[in-house]
Amino acid sequence: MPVTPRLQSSPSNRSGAQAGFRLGDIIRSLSFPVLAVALILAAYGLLIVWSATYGLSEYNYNRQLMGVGIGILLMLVIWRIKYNRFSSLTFVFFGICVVLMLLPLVPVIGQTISGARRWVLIFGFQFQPSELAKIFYILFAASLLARYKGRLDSGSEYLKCFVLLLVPIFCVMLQLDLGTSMVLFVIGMAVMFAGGANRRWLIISVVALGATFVSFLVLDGFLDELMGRDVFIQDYQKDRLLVFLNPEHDVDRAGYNLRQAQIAIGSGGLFGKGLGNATQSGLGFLPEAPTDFIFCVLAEEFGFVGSMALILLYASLMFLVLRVAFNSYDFFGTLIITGILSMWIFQIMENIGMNLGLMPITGIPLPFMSYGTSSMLVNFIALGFILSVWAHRNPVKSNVSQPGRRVQ
Amino acid sequence: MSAYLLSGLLALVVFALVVLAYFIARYLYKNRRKKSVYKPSFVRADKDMIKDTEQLRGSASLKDRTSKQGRGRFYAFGVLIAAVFGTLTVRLWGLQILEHEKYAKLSNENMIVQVSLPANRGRILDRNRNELVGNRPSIAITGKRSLANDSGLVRRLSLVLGIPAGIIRRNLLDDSEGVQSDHSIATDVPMETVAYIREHPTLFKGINVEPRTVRYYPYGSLGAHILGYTGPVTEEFLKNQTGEEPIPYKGGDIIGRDGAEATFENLLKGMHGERLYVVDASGNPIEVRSEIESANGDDVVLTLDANLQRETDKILMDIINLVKSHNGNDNCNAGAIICMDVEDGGILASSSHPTFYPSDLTRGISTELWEELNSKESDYPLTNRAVSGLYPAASTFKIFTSLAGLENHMIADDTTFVCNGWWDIYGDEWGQRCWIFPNGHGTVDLEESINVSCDVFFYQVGAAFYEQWFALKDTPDNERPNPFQDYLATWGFGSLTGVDIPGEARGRIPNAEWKWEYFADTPEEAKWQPGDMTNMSIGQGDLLVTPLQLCNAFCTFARRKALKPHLYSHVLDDEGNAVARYKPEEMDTQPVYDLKYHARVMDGIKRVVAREGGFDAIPVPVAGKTGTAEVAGKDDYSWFVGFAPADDPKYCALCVIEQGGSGALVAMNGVIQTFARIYEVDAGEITVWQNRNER
Repeated sequence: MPVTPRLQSSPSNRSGAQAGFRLGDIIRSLSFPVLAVALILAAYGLLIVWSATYGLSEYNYNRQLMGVGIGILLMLVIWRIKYNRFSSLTFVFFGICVVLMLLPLVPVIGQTISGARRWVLIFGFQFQPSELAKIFYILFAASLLARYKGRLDSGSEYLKCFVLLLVPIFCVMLQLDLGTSMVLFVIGMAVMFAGGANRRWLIISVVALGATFVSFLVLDGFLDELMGRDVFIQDYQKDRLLVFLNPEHDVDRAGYNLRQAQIAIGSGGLFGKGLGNATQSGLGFLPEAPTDFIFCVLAEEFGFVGSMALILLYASLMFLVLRVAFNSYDFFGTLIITGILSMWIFQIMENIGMNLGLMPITGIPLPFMSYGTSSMLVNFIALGFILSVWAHRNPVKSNVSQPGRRVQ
Repeated sequence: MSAYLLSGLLALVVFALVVLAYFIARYLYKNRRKKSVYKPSFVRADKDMIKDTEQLRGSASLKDRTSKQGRGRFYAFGVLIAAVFGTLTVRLWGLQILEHEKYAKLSNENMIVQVSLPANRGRILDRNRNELVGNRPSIAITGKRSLANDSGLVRRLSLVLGIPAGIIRRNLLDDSEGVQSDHSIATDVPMETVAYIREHPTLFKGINVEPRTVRYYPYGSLGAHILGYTGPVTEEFLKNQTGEEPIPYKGGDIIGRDGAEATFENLLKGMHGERLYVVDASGNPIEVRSEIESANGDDVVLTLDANLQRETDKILMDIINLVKSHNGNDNCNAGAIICMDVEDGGILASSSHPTFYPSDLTRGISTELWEELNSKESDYPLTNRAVSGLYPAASTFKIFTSLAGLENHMIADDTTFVCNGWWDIYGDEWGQRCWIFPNGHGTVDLEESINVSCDVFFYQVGAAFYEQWFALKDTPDNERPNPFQDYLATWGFGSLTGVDIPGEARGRIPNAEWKWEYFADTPEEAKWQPGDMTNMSIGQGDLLVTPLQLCNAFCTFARRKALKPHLYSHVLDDEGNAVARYKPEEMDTQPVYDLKYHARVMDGIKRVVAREGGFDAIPVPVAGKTGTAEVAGKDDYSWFVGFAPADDPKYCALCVIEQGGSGALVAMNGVIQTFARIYEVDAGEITVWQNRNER
């Protein structure tokens, strides 16, 4: 392919050592609104987590602070990395993804906590690899779909992508982590949608998956009886679904969490009970308050006003991120951000939705709010990618490397 | 209204969010075009170069693409974001604003635990402030009904408490304290046992140790009928509470069931206090939110005199035992003594025999005991014969017949009758004996007929009333005047005295109309006969009175004013001062009589005492009247009513002994002994004569 010297030289010249390290340019390349909203969210989250974990020995607030600190560092590093260097590493990401997903199943390092095998313990650090895998999954999906340049009409190509995207999801299913597999599925479908996949195939695959899920639900009972144990869908997951369909179902046991969550939110009223005065979580009526039900703590302490502040912060972050995606230098960047955006939207919708009784209960953390270092790191890494895409949106001003060279 | 308004506002907010999303997307799209204008670096670039770049970048970024599909999908994300946050907002509004109160209440219910602080029940004191009923602490071992099925636990409890396992099981199954509350297994458990049970919670799972106060009767069965007893409040009672009572009851509360405990329930009860705790999810108390102190019940002071009451209880029992042993009369088993303060109608002592121990009944009554207390064999010890017993008044009634006769001019100043022992003015068929002296009293006037209790004189009075009634035979029964009965009613017969003791009977003054209704099924017996009237005139026939009615009528006669008998004197405030003192209440109807007639009757009953003797030991003159009631199929009932001093009456005493045998002296002993105790003199041994034929 003929390449004019000027074009070749222009970005690389400008992206030379002098340009790259000029402080003014660096600062100008930051998306201040995105960063500001994200940091306000993180600070808000730290405040609520502090209040929710205060006096509880099983939670470590310093660890959460550390998570935010390391997250910010990671974010800054990734911000400076030219994201499109990764555009051709599709199958590397795929491999990392699958390995991370299977890590908790490895005998020595795998950890089982409260009945789910989702954690690994390496060098004394305990983390949830499936959280980290989300990032690699997004990169994998984005780089895969970017190859089709926004037009994926061929049925066989679509099927290839679809199967590839499903593989990590099945790996997560092996850990019985329904929440994460749902997040991954949403990311996959969102990236396919934004990546220009034919509408017909999209609809067919969503319907097919939905049908599979429903038939699993129906068949599960028979299978359980046949095998004599829980297969595929756990009883507690069925209970959660029943509770979702009927909030009054088994209020003392299966429906207890939802019941207490609603009481916490509802009793907050307009202005809330004030910081540290949450009785529902403070006195232990609401289990898992700092993690899955952190929104309840916020709603109880700061009421409708505080909840709306969070909702508006999230909404503005989402629209700002959407703007970054729109202004991306290339389609790969757009798709990365689409993946991150869909991940966040789904997690927010699912987490707050389940707190409010709009969604069934699953263990999905609320971005920037929930207690948990793994998820906090992942959110900041994702934020790093957003900043990177924004910083490198302009090939002339920024130092985006030429992906074309590598591809060819 | 406001809810609709707010929902509308919310819909607007959601709409605004969607519109906002649209404009942001549009702005981003426009920006692209602006940028292409204002960013010269891109414009200056070689067209070919840009095309190449786009090729190299692989379809370029979304904003550079011309494909409508790509942009449209991107806007879809904006709409999705708006929709998600809009939905969450609507739901938040619903929970936090519209349903806030419901959830705030539930949140409080979660963390606030209400503990009831029991109030001490007031004590019952006698007029000298001796404690008749008090409270004493007691440690109870309690458990739920279902524990009765745990045979291991029952066996362990049996070993520790020293109670047979069968009794423990029965106590656990006994619902008399209420089905839901814990059932007490044993009370007054020693501290060592309590300590052992507390130290071995795993062995005694579900067993609670409860500090309680129980009703305490320092004098045992003293005045049992007057004091009454308490019991746990029933489920049914709790269910029927409307919530607006001045004193609300809770499960496990005790309530007065009979006697003064029931009458003065509202004074004695007190008010529960309430303490609100904040608890955590495991139920551990964190802090006290608020506390309302309990208000103890008032101490109620009765007109009763404990010393006198103890004496009358004893006198009554002694007389009955003497009749049994000395006269060999095993049918004699019941009776009553009442002593009243003539001046204000206060009851000083009221005994009823057979009696019971209130402490047996305060903590739930076992079925066996209840059946025993309500059986014919035991002569119904729970019945307070002083107010519920119905008897023919017999000769004691003659003073009221006399006054009726005098007031209605059936007896003139100089009326005399010749009594030859047989009276047959209505023919042999209706002939009636003068019961006392079959040989006749000879010529008697009013005073002497009262003294010797000559029946013939009073038959004659009754007959005169009958003649008057019979003369009006053309008038229907219900319009014929009944001057005799109407006059008796003014003395309080046939109606409730209104005393503050539960279970009072009304009594009966028969008349033609009553008889017609009573014997409606057998019309041949329903006719009002001369014998009905003459029998009534000597206190027999269908006439029925309660001892209290009779005693109060004598008091009315003695003080010449009808007052309500009462037991209540005052209550004590916290400092022990008497407050809310009883104010004597006059009866609605006052008997009417000429003072001249009153003096004649008084003369008659003074003569009775003088003739009988026996009152010699009493330092003041006494007036009284004997009576021997005939009851079909039973031995005679013995009566005496008297008051002292006769000229300035202060005390009135009544004694009735069921089946005490013929001879009024049996009952007279009760009154003599009572007055002897009041005037603190020795009246000697109680003697029961068998063969004194005195009416």
